[in-house]
Order: sequence, then C-alpha cells, then structure tokens
Amino acid sequence: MKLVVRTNLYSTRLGRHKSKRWWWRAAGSILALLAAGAASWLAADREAFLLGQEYNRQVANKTRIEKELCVIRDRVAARTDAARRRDQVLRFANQRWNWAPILSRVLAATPDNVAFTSFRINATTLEEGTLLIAGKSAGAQPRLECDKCRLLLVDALREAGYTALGEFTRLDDSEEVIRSAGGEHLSADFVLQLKISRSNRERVRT
Amino acid sequence: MFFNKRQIIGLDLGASRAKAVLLEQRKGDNSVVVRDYAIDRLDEPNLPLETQLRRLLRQLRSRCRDCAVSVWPSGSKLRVINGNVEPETVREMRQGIADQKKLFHEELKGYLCEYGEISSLTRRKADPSFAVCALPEIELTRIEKALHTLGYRIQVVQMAPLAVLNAFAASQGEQELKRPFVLVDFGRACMTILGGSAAGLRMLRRIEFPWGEIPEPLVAVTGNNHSGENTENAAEEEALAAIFGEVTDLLAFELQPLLDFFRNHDDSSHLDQVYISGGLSNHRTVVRRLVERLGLQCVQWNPFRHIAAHRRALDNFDLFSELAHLPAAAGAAFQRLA
Repeated sequence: MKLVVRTNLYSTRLGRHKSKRWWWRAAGSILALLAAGAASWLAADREAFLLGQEYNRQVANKTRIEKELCVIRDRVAARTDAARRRDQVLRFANQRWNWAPILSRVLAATPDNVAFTSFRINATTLEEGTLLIAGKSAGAQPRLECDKCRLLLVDALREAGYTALGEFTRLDDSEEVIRSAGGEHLSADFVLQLKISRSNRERVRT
Repeated sequence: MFFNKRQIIGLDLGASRAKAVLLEQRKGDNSVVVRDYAIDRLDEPNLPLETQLRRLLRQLRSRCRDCAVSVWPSGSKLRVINGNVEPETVREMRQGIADQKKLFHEELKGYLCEYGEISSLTRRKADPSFAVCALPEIELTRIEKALHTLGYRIQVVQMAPLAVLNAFAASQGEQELKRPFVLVDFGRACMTILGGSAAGLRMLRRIEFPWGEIPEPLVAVTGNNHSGENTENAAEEEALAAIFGEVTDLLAFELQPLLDFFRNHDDSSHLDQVYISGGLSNHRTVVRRLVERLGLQCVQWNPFRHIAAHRRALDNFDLFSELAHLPAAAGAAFQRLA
C-alpha cells in the first residue's frame, strides 16, 4: 500500500500517552512481580512459618514446664530433706529406748495410797529393760495394796503394747504408821521389778 | 489465532457528515479488507460530539477501538512547501529544526503543528516537497475527549486532504500516477483540490464556496437514488436539474482558474481527466455538466480499488454509491495499516 504523506498530528500526544502507559505498565509490572514474589514466598514459607509458630509454642511450653519443674524440684528437695530428717529421727528413735511413755503410764496407773521412793531403770538391750520401783503403800492390808499396784501397773503397760512382767523383790510390812484422811494406816515397803519388753506393735518402722 | 489480524477504524469528521470505515489487515498475506462502513449526520450543534459519534460507531458493529481520524476543521492550516522554491526551509525541516513561525509566516498559539515529506508518487525521482499542517489544539482535544468517552483510542490524526491524497496514491496504479491528475473532493461548504504528477504534488487548495452551502439534496448520501426515485414528478425533477446546473456552473467557475494554473506547469499540460469525490460526485447531472463546463473527463474514483470487501460490507448494496464519501476515512486508516 503506497502512502505519500505520513504526518500524524496526534503523534505528540500518542507518544505522551504511550510514555505514560509505559510508566504505568512498568509500575504495574513491578507491583505484579512483587505481589507474585510475596505470594510465592508466603506459599513457600508457610510450612516454615507454621513450624516456627510450633517451635515458638514449644519453647514457651518448655519455659513454662521448666519453671514448674524448678518449683517441683524445690518442693521435692524440701520433702526429701524433710523425709531424710524424719528418717534420721526415726532411725534414732528406733535405736533408743524411750521411757517417757512407759513412765507416764506407770505414774498414771499408780493409786493414791502408794508412794514411790525410787526409780531405777536398767536398759540392757534395745528390746528389753527393767524398771525397779521402790515405795510404800498404806492401807488396812498394805501388802495387798502393793500387789494391787503391781497388777495395775502391769495392766497399764500391757494396754500400751508392752510385754510386762512384774514381781516383788521385797515386800515387807513396815512399822511406820501413815496418817492420812483423818486416820492412821498400816504401811508396807516394797521393791517391784518390772521386766518390760517392746512388742512388735510398739516398734517404729523405718 | 486471535492476533492474526489488525483492525482500524478510519474516521472522517466532515462539516456535515461523519464517515467511518472499518478496515482489517490480515497478518499472513497483508491483505486489507473493508469490513464495514457507516455514514451519519454531524450537523447538530446542540448535541455533543460523542453523542453523534456513538450513533455512527455503533453501526460498525465492531470491537475495534483504534481510530485513525481525518479532519479539516475551520482554522486549521495546511501548506505544501516545494524544495525548489524554499530550499532553506526544506533543509531545516529535514534536520528537524524548522521553526513553526517560519513555516506558517505567523505565530500560531494553541496549535499542534506537524510536517512530513511528501514522497514521490512513482518510482521516478520527484522534487522534494513537504506538507506542513497545523490543527487547533482545542479541536483535537474535543475529538479526543469524545472518542475517549466512547472508549476509543486515537492512533492517527491526519488532515483530510492529505488523507485523500494517501487514499488516491494507494488506490491507483503506477501508470495512472505517472499521468498528471487533479483530485476534487466536494464538501458541503467547501471543496478541496489537489493536483500533482509524477514529479510530485503541485497544488493543494481549499475553496470555501462564496455562495454558502450546497443544498442538502445535492450532497445526500445516495444522490443517484434521490435524483432518480424520490422525485415525484417531472416538474420537481426539472427543478432539481436546474439547481444542479446552477451549482455546477458555480463550481466550474471556481475550478476553472485552478485547472488552468495547474496546466500551466510543463509536466501537467496534458491533464485529461479530473478525479472527483464527495456527495456531489454521485449526481450524474452534476458530473455531466462539469464535463461540459471544464472540457475534461470527470470520473469518480474508488479508494478501495485494490482491496477486498468483506461480505458484510458487500451485503450493503449502497457501498458502491457511497464510495465517493469515504476517501478521507480510508486514507487515514491506510496510514495506520501501511
């Protein structure tokens, strides 16, 4: 197709539009590229992102658990220490003869008309011991009162779990007259030997 | 498959009518096909341009959005500068340093100026000449705004006479272009005359009719039908013939000095025919009277002579009677396709 003249009065504006369009297209292309890059990055990094989230969650859990563990360890250490102390005490208690409960029961079971003049304890072994009690009794039949006292003491100790065997090593009427409760009573001197052994129930298990 | 063809709408915004032609170029064999065309009135000043163009472009039934516009509004300027006469100006134009003030001998404010070399019509080396045109910027903005509103893009804006010249050069063969030629494009209120030969473009004139506008029936789109069928009686036909005769005499009176001037050139003395286009060229009475008055053969030329027509365009039987209206639109479209 043969053309003679090629003037175009719109060429200036067309160039301007085209240059504008070029900028817009370039800007659009860059934006599209960035969007595509971001999308692909997000798509590719999603797994890593989720793993990161999981890692952070696990780290937080670990910190929390470690804190709890520290508290528990402290508590366990405290309890272990307490247990150790208790065991030491119990072990110590198991290795000695505690006479306090025996004496308390003996004194509690002693009737009013009997008075002790001496105590003597012989703890020969950890299993057996001897309690030697000397005293006086008052009453119409003072030796009978002494025997009642022996029975009372033996019963009290047996009730407390001890195996007790009582026998008088001395039991004599005394010439002394005891005045009490507005009257005069005969008296007797006695020495009572109580053989006491700890029963299984009484032992402390460690 | 979808990009193996290129379409362009050639748009000629005349004083009274807008003409549009849709051309399609296939990329395989570069063949150009006339897909469709439309002609509509453009003389309603109260309506905005986009409203009038919407009606026209809707008739094309095409999704093509690229337009090549041909205009020649009042106030526009067009000059042909001959290299033999003004060698200094031509040299500056070739170097791209030509000053607008020097080209038009006046300072043009608010104008878009453009110049381009007019190449030889034949293989023979021709005198160097340049076409210099200036279009009021406000007019271009108005057209651009209207087309943008309708969703169309402007690719080319060409002065109507240059578009006609391009269409003529594209439609004629080597032999026809070797002979001197005169093109007359009749408008409603003016006519454009181009004269040239193998040596180049010699004459370019625009003559505004001193008597005013040509009556509407004479520039009707289908002039032959109008003169042949719409006349109800012989008296009316006779009256129309009288008007035609009077108008033709006036046209011949304007044309004759120019033709004489053209024939005074050495290589144009053997001018034997005048190519005519425009609404008036459809009227046999006018053509016959012109031949009588000018003493030269007047022939209507076909801008689509070397290109095919799509069956949709051919289905419209008026195509051949409306060819005379389409040179400028076709020329603008050719510039985009070539």
